[in-house]
Amino acid sequence: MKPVELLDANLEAMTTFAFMDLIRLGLELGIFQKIDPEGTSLEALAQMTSVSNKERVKDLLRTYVSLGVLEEEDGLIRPSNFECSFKAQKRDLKKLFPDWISILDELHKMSEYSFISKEHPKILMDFDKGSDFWDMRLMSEPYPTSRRVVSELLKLEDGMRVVDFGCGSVSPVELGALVGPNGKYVGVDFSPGLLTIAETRAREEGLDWVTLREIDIRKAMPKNGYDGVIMSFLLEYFKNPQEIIEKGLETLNPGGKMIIVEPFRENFPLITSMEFFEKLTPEFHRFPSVSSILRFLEDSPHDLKVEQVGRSVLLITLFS
Amino acid sequence: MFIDPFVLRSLNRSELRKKILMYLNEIYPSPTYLSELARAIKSDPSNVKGALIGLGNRYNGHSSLVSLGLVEVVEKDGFKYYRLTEYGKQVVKLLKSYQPYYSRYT
Repeated sequence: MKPVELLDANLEAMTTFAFMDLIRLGLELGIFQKIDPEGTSLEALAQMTSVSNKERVKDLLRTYVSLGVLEEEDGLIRPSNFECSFKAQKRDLKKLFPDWISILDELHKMSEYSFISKEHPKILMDFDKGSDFWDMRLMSEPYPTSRRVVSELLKLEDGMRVVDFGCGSVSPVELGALVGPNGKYVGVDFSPGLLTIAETRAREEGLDWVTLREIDIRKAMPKNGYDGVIMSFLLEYFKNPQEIIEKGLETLNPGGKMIIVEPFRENFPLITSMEFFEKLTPEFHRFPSVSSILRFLEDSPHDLKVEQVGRSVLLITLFS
Repeated sequence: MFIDPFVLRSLNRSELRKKILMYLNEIYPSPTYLSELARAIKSDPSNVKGALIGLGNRYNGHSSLVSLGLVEVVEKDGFKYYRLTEYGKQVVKLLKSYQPYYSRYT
């Protein structure tokens, strides 16, 4: 089976499980019992819960509204006629990796702590305070499969020059190894914690063609001249993903390719559920929309070929 | 396999448990016995025993290396030997990767 099919199947299942977790959180807080069928204000509902972080409860309620579990009219929240069914087929279940189950469990636990305080010490979603958690997450599926997708579609091989935006702690070794010893891999991230782990591993493996840079790509970019640009699970951390894509295109050589891997929001209907958990990372914004990226690329002054691969990958070739 | 980062952080802060893990990793897959282990890491056998299987209030059931599943007890000819588990080996690998991060950021 193609890795992109596996990636899509797992992302889909993750959003479904995240949805169930979201409902579980509401049940734990007793939210559904507290809602008056005639309507209750967001503020009143949040005040009815016993937890201290009322803002997080409001965020949960807004997420329910955006998923259609609850409805909001004239500032009042009411139960909706929401219905949701899931089918589990043997052939689909076989595609699912076990890794992310325990990661989602951790996110659920951290979410429970977030109802106490958004800075609770058991929440490890900050890239620097929880680099060890993030590293384990990045080593777990579906991330290794996303790296397989990247290496296959960019045809990574010895001698290529690639830049990986939001490289994290694992890709510099896994993807970096593929372009050496004659190529160059530049990993860019704004988390010094993740880069420290990546640096330790790259040094241990002797990957001296791997360079790591702590850069906020909204403010600065590496110099031009790459055969490949990687943006994997990156754009959700930016308010304006188009600006980042444009910067990526500017670093490509003619003939070079840029790959974007994301659970694009139109393609994963329950993605908002996943976002509730991902918001525990302070920089998280929202998962990008593929249609808005495609519109942006159509209007781009560059001569480009854009291919959609599965539901979570865009492959862009720059001609000039 | 997901490993609780709080377990890793706690191990990282405990010099004795860390030394034991590193030594058992060095001789893996061979097991060793308590007094040899204590000699190798230059520590007292009772402290080492405490770190391995728990002793009184020190390293209670939840935090001893055997309870955490990092070290296993092998019994042979009436003697007890200690060996790193597969899981323990993964934990050591992560601890090594995280060492510079832990010393700078936690």
